Amino acid sequence: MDCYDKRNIAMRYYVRMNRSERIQHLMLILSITTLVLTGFMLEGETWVINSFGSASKLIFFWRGILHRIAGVGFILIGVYHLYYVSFTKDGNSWIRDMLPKLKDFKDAMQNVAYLVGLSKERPKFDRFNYQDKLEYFSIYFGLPIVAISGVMLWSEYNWNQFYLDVAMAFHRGEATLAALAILVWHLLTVFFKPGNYPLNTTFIHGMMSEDDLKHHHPLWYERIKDNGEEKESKS
Amino acid sequence: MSCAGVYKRLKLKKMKNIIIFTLTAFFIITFAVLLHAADEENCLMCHKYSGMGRFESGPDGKGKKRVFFVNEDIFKNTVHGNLRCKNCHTDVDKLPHTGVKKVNCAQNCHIKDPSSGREFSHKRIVDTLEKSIHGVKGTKHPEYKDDLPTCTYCHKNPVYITSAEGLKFLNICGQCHEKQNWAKRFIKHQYYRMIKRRPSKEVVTLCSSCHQDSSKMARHKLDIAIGFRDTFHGKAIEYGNEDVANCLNCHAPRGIGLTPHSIVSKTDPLSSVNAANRQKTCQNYGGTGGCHPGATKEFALGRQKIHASGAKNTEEFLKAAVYDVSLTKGGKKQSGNKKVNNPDESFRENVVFWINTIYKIAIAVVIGGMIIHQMLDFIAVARERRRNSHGLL
Repeated sequence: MDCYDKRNIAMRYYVRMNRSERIQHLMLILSITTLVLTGFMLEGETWVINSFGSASKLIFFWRGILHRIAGVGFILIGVYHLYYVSFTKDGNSWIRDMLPKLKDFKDAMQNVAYLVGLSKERPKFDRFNYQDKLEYFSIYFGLPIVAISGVMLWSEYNWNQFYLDVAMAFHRGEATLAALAILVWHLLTVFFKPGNYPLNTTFIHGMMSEDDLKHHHPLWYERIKDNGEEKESKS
Repeated sequence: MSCAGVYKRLKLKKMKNIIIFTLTAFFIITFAVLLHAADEENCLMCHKYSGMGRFESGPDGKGKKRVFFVNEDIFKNTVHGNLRCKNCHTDVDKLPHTGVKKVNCAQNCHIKDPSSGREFSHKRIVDTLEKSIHGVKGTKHPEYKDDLPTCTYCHKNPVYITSAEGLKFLNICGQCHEKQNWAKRFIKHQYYRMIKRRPSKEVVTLCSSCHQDSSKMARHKLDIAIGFRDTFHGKAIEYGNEDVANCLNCHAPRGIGLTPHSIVSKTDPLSSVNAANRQKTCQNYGGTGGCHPGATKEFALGRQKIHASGAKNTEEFLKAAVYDVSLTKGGKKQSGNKKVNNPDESFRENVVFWINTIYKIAIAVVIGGMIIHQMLDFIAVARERRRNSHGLL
């Protein structure tokens, strides 16, 4: 189905994220935002919370509870996503395209060479480029670390202080790394990358225009434009 | 004008002056006596003036400001408000007051203790304090006895907390006891001991005033207690939560028979933070707090570093490290504690240290690389879009 973009040009749209993926992503946004906010409250300067006056005591009380709820949510999303990529058709194709290949390494080298001016053109990316894969697997690398150390800190009565210290160091370190990585690598891209500003809305409607697709994911475009994987767009 | 007339008028003027002076003096004295009827020793005749005070040379050669002003309204509402000045300041008997010693809280008052019928005294509590680690007899380094807290270091003769809740009982008392002021005072006396008198934040500040003083702690071969504000207890207190443990809840829990005046060294078997008693302390044994009822021995014994966790990053530590060379190596070396030489302990510290260091390096490298990549990418995309005439990207 053809529709019109903001420049009034007829544009074909392709499905980039299906409904399940969009919901998973939304839950991830909610849980990670809550986790980061309530977690770093402990590390931050006390005047920030104290500026809320008498509510600060309440905020600090709910902080711990919200952090645990969001943490459980985060783990559940991770588990559900494992089920999704293992047992659903869309999930299977997702993980097939997501698994790192030798081409990603070459792409990364070529893209960096292009960025510093050593190469004339960008590499041709498939469905997920190396940046997407790095983002995806860094979350899957971090999730078990923060989850296990978080559960250890939650059940502190059963542990020796040494294990708790180690868990705390991992929890804090991994959380800082992940939060900064998401901020710099993902949020900066979807909000401020030229062409995306003010916000790349793909995560809401799941669609990507033919133009964008051709430009950013040419190999995937070649693959799906004829073989029927393409889906009708709504709007 | 005749001479006699002038003389008459002068005389009259003199008379008028005398009358005015007498009347004024009479009224002033009457009012003064009426106003200060309670001040039988008449100390307030001078000490009511707010400007009263002087500068003295202190022990360290610096000038010290002494204020001798007494606000009667405030004093009457303090815990010692019903005492006469000379009940405590016993050696003030001439003007000017020379050779006056500091007030000794252990001396007998002229107030009768209703439980024994004898003169009341704080002697018992002073004796307890002296035997504790904070007292002259209990301290391990009597050569530095000037560092030890005195009664007035912590107790400032505070104003009684007036509470509408407590004063509700006043009309019950009034049925028999006719002097309302006396009844009011009695209720305050009781009520004052039933409520929490100092907010936890104040307790932490009070204890920290010595236990974060690096030079003072070095003299007494103690670790400086700087990490407490980074713990969950410390943070919650900072945000005004009174339901978590402050210093005294762990070091002087009443449940196992300790009071703030009888704190002993952690090596003493009676101490609440001694390894043998730790579990009970975390469980708030015998208390009403119910802090960690499920605390296992493992949990309780593990808390070796409840003050020091994360302390290495705090501003206080950095300050201490700059000014005190003995602290530069980890904040623990200054103490003669055997814990430092324990290979197990140093292994544990090393593990945590390396995890933190590796994460710091990883964060710097990964995030730094990401920032550079993103900047280059954004610049490249902007360039591509500019080159593309219809801006279709």
